Amino acid sequence: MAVRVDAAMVRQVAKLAKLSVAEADLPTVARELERVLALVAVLDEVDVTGVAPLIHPHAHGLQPRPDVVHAGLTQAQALANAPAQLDGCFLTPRVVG
Amino acid sequence: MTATARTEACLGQIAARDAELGAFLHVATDAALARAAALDAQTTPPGPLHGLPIAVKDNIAVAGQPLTAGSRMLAGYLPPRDATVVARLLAAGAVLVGKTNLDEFGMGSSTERSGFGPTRNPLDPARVPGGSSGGSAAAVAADMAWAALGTDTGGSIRQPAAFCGLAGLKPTYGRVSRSGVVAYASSLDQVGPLARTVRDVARVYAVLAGADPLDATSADVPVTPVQWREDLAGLRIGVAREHLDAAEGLDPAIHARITAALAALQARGATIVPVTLPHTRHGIAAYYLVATAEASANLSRYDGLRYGQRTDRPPTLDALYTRSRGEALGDEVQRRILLGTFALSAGFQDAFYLKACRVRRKIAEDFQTAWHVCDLLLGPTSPVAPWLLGEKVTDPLAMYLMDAFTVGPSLAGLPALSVPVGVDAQRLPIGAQLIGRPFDEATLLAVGDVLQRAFATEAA
Repeated sequence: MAVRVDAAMVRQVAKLAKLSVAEADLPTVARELERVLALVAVLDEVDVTGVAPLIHPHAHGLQPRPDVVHAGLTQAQALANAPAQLDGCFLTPRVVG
Repeated sequence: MTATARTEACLGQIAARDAELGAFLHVATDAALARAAALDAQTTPPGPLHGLPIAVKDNIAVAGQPLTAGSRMLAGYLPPRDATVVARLLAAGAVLVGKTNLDEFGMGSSTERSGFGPTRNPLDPARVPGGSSGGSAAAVAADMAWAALGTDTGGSIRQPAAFCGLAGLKPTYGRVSRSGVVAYASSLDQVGPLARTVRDVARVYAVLAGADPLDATSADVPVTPVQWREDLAGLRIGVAREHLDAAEGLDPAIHARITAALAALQARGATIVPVTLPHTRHGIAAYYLVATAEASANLSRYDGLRYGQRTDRPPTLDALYTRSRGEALGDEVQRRILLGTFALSAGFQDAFYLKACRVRRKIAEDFQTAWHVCDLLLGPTSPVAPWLLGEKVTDPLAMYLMDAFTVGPSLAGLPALSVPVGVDAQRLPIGAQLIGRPFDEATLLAVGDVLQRAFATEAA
């Protein structure tokens, strides 16, 4: 599937991906993305009518563990790598008015 | 030889060569020496890896040692616990000498895309060691570790092993726990060992393999001990024309070497069977869509909130996310996240991500068809020899194509082993890739050992 990628499309994808692409870089990123999409167009050669997607290769299935409580991270361990914390919580910028 | 003597020898090599090679992101000198001394004083029976110095790729958690996954995003991060594979190495008596360099989050084929500088190939420092486990391969090739753990998503153990003249195993998907391993593409990632010989790889693999309650995708399938062989009578080795005679862009010296490898195995009793893997040429495209789609989801966790880098004084929560990620993630990582997000986005998911997953099934079926007539497959690990630093880094697409032979087994979840089979005219190493049936690592290792010894005899 040939796709034409423009600056608006890159802006939208970057927004979804929570990445900031500078306005000046949008055309370059669009061209790069278009090149990769041209490469993957080779998939159009394959007839996949009626073929179910293979999402995960494990034919053995998942191995759920018994539903019992295990010790996890302590609060101190969970916060140990936090960029900012306050009163035992992760600190973020204000999100409500 | 004592654990201390072995560890001191490796630390000495690190001190002598790592400033040039850049294989390590963290050297655990004091911890390794203390551990070695404790092992030397141990009175209980030694474990299977007693006193052997092992390096760990820096996307695998070792408690108390920094973990970056090669990303500025995780600079300063200290993991709270050991990955399951690390706990198993320690229980087996290994000495952990440090954490090795990688392409950021495993995204690369040359270890030039680490956020902390490139790794160089110890056999020729002007050249790349392969990637993304290039630091692990360089560490072993320069005798800075006896063996190393790598991770492999689309070839990241096998290709660096080939580029550095080592053996390297990507186990069957689910064979080894991923708990405590930084996720890149969760349906592809596997941990495995790199070492000088297939027998050493097997020794580490035996410690790593087996189900883990902390990883629901690990498989509860019995681990078969390797039966070492001298002759290969009765064994059928498949050769895919798409991986050899009809392979696009295959270096003639590598073609010749793989042909010699087949002859060596035939001389030891194996039967060579021609097979076809018709969707080989679609592997790269399917791989990059599946891997980047999964990466876009996995790497959303790097939001600057709970760990990792946070931008300075963001005005809003949204600015915190986007600026933290934009500032700390490298170009290639951002490129792959954008591609993956695009492939999953409304209006494009069917045409890209799901199409890739359907082709993925066709690729897996190609292998299943091959297993009707052969027991394993043999071909080259990489189409080319290690390239010069900087030679391909400006063209990501050219670099993607270097993974042509390794991504197929990854997409199908199959075990694959790279075995050194000699050098080209420039003395650059060449690796043969053996691909096996699911969970049949034992056959791969036994045949790989015969192959490696065949070439060792020839070299002598």
